[in-house]
Amino acid sequence: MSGFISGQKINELIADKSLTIRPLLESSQVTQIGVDFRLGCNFLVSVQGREPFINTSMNEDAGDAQRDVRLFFQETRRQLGETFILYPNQTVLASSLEYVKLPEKYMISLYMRSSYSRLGLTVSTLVQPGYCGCLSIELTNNNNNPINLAVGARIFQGIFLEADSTTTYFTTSRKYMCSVRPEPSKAGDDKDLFTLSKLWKKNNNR
Amino acid sequence: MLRSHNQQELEFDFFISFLQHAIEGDDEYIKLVQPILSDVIQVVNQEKGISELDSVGLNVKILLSQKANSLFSGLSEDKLNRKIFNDILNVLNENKRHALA
Amino acid sequence: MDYTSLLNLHLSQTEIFVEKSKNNSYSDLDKKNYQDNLNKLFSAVKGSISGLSAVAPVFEKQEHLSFICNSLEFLKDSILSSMPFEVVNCLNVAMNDWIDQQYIIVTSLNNNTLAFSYDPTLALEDFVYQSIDIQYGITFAKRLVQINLPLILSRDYFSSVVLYHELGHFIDLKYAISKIVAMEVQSISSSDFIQYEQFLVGGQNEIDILTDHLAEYFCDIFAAQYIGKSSNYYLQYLTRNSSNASYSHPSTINRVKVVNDFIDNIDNPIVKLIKKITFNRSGRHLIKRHEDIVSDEFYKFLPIEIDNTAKLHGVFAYAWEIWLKGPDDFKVNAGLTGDFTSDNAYKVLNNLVEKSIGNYFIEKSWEASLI
Repeated sequence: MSGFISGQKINELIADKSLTIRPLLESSQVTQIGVDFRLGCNFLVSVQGREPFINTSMNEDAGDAQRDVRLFFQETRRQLGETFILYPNQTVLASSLEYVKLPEKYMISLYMRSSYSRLGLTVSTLVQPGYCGCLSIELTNNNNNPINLAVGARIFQGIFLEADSTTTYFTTSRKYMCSVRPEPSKAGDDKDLFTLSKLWKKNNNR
Repeated sequence: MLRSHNQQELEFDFFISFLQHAIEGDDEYIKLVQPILSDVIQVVNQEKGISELDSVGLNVKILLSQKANSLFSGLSEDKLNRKIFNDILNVLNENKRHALA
Repeated sequence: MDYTSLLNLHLSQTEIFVEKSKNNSYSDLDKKNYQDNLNKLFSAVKGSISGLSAVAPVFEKQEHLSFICNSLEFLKDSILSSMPFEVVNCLNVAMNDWIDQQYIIVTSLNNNTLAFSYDPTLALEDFVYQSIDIQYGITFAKRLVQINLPLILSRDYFSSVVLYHELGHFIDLKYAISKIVAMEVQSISSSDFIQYEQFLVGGQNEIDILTDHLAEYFCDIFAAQYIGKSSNYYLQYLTRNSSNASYSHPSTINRVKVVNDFIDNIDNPIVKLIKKITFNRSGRHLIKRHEDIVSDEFYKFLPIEIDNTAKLHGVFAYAWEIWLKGPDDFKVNAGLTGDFTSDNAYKVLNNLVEKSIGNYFIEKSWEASLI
């Protein structure tokens, strides 16, 4: 993997329409080292429900079925300029205000902007080349205090990285296609879980 | 549905209630019923067409202009009094059921 | 009958509602003010009902309590955590084309998947507001326009087109359009009525049936201004394109014809009459108020860039047109080689409609805040 792509190159990609960012409310969001993204309007807040745990295994000893991960999240919405309070140790799935379509040769690595990481907020996400949709982020507040965030604020940044060859995003079925609201994990849809469960049954005479 | 009051019925019931207050001499309610009755007077005396009426209390206005023609014919707004309110109330009570059928 | 005990029961029931709603938080100050007014109204009603027994005062108090409960039901679902604000914002734009007075659109989310309806109680019952004003000196600067929609479909922008029809009911009642059209139809000679007979199969004499059928035609035309023929598809499916009229609704075949004739500018006596009375009553013309979008943006998995309200409303019809062509057509146009099912198309189109609309309002409010 080569180095990061400069702001100048990002602007060229936007100009020749191979990269789309909508809405780009201010051109200054494209910085020298990447793009500042804004906090979007939709949130999935982690909540404790009736289910004892999130099951990402298909083994029967942990229960007779995987429960929908959505049961562990509650959706809430805000409009631009309103605020959202993130409590200590709480995980919230949020998304960018911007809808992004990446060229098939570029991926994004997402980080908090420095001002927000200094508050104890962390995020860690990669966005695949060719991805289209709002960027999903998993926000966690490591501070001891709740943090009130403004919807529409530039809170995280994307560093663009160029691949050594072109990838094709839509040749395989995509779990998170054109998402515009955060979506809970679809870890349970991974096909290898079935294989692993089969293996476990065989090893345990089931 | 347990409660089946429709909007038209509500409109009649409120106007009847307003008239009852007006009959008791409550000035505030007299001020409320007057513009409705004034419209009816104008329709009956052919100074205004039904299609020109505004929609406030429209069902009441239409009913009264159809069923109390003789009561309003030749009447002017300044002649509205307790006795006329009572007559209007009787017309409404007699015809409400028909209007809502 | 002495209704005192029942009125007190109603009061206690309303109090439960009022107490629960005190925790509602509204970012929209209009809604907050409305709720504060409801709290004041409840206290005023509570302080005024002891010793009432005459039917008239009891009736008014009863309606004041119902007004509070009804308002709270809709305000409760209009807190942003659940509100489909993209579509509500579109309805607001459409509503502002038609009225000068200020209203707040509120939604109630129901479990029934066909629960699209309009409730006129809070927007148009002028006498309720007059009664509240006289009795307690409380005035409501804004009124609620109540629209019911299915909770499960609150993100379904295909069925959302129906909400334009429901908004039409509010506009219709506001200007009493169908009522006046019905009275005009009643007043014409039977030979003149022949031209309308095909559409008004219940005849000239039954005013309620006439009004109801004309109201549906009006709302269909009203909606078509914004969403074109989109609601026809849904209606034809739900009624299996029925040729039968009911007491409350004209046949689907007639409704579809009226919409098509309006959109295609084909001479139609009912459309002509409704357009004439609508202008007389409201001072506004029933005209096409949406743009037919020609674009391949959705096929590129991109939200449409919208810069005017005609294009905003046009997004619904644009998505419907793509949907009707089926997933295979989408796949070809999008140049996809992998699987792309009907369900994929459903999700992608809904997402793209939501973001297209959302971006329009985000950019508009951003620009407005820079001035």
